Amino acid sequence: MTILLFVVFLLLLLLGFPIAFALGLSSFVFILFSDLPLIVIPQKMYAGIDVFVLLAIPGFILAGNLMNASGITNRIINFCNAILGHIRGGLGLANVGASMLFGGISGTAIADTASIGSVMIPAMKKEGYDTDFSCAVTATSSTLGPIIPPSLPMIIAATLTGLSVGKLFIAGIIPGLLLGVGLMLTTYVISVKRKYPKSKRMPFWLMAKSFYQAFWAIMMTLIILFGIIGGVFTPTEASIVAVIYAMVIGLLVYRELKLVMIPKIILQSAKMTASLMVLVGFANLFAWIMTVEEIPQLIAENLLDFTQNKFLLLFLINLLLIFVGAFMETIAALLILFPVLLGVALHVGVDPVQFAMIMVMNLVIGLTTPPVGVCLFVASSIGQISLERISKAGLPFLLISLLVLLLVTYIPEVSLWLPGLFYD
Amino acid sequence: MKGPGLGFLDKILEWAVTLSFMVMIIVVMIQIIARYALPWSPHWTEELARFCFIYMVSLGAGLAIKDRAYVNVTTFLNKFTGKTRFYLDSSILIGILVLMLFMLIYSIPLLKIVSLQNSAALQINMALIYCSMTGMSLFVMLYSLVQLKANFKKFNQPL
Repeated sequence: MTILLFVVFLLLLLLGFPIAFALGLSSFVFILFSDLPLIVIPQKMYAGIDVFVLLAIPGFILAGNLMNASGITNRIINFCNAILGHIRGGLGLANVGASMLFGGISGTAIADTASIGSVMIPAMKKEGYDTDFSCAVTATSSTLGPIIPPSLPMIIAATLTGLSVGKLFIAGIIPGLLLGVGLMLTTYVISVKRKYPKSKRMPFWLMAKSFYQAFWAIMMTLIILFGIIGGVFTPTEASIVAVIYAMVIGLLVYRELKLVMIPKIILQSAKMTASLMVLVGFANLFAWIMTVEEIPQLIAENLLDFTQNKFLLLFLINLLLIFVGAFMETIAALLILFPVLLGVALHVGVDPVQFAMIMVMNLVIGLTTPPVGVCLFVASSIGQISLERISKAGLPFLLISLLVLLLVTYIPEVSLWLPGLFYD
Repeated sequence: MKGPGLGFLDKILEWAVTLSFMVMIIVVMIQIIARYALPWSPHWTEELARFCFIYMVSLGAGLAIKDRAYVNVTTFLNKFTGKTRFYLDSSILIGILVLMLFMLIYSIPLLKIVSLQNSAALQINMALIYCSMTGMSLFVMLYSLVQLKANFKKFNQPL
């Protein structure tokens, strides 16, 4: 009987149904064949979105869109180019650096691929970088977006389990930096091998000028982080502070944002939020059915029957998640699997914050692997090359991402040391 | 990529969604400012912000169908063109329609149940908030119907 829920879901997913409605419809079909009442559909949808922490999602989406409309992307790229451009493969390094800074503004990877890619991929091609390399750097480095705070998947993980959003945000800093540096090293090594160009060292005053331009973007990340850590405001409030900050910077400092543009940006962000929240609502229904049918316990028992060894278990979970991440959108996978697998992880003594980090890293790696890597799709359409070529060029970067994932999985301090300094 | 819309209703919904978002922002700002600058903190801000959010999502859910903003896996879908693609696209929209129809029907008895209680801080009848679910089902259905109609029209056009 329970198998019906998953079979219908996977079938609909494969047929191209939006994930939100594939979750809703498979739950609906299951309810029809069970003795559960249909009234739970609207009820669980409502309960799924009636959560104050979730309000941070439209907040961060809007703040990111406002910053983008203020021309922040170009400023961040200019700044990174000013400090990294004179090294061999400078534009590639600047691409990764820009993703790290941009990750502190947006909470998603796709936004990062689209905005940085549309500037960087053509620029790198013009300078003589191979197209597949340029696209692969862009796509892989944008996975830093959901790891470096603020991060939408982390907000979702917190909502699901009652963990502190602030703690999860801070847990992402060191893995994010590690991954960023790892990707830069890979870019550098490949660039030296292929003799990619470097530009002249910029005079100091130009560097200082570009820093001043990017400074306001970096400040936004710091305000969000220290506001939450210091207990000045909650994550939801932080997202709204970020919105106001982005408006002020865009209107008064950068002056590229115009008042008339704001309602349109708000509407755009609201529609993006709505499509995400319908997904959250239906996933809540799906998860509720799983709980009623005791599926999480079943999976946990089976996994634990198979092995109680922490190392082996985490390895198996990683394999499963990479596989799922390759097929499914991050937030949907998180909504369905996080509560299920967390039980297993807790049983073998993994900290929930560390486990959230493992989970999010796994799923964002899936954004850059075929067949369903959305970042690959976006980068391939900007660079006008096939998915196969980007995937192949992305292999060295994928290996580095997996290496960082292993560090996060087996060294708890990587994700827990920093939050430990601020909390408890 | 945008699909066809519903003219006047698009405009109304777009304004309602934008307005809900703006009110949400203002209310959360009041919450922050009050905590630090005022001698008292209003107890209704969190609730009002949440209700604005729920309405923003419910009213925006239909518009998101028009914008094709829902994420789906297109690997398999894109392998098809012509007649097969038409049938696939149509069955997706019909599936959404059926689901939302049942959500609409069953949101009515739910309204009856929750109408017995008021919200904790604002003392608003909860049926007023839960009817956002009725609205969500209705608007998603409406926009799916419009897309379905456009799909049929496109299919019947001579090439």
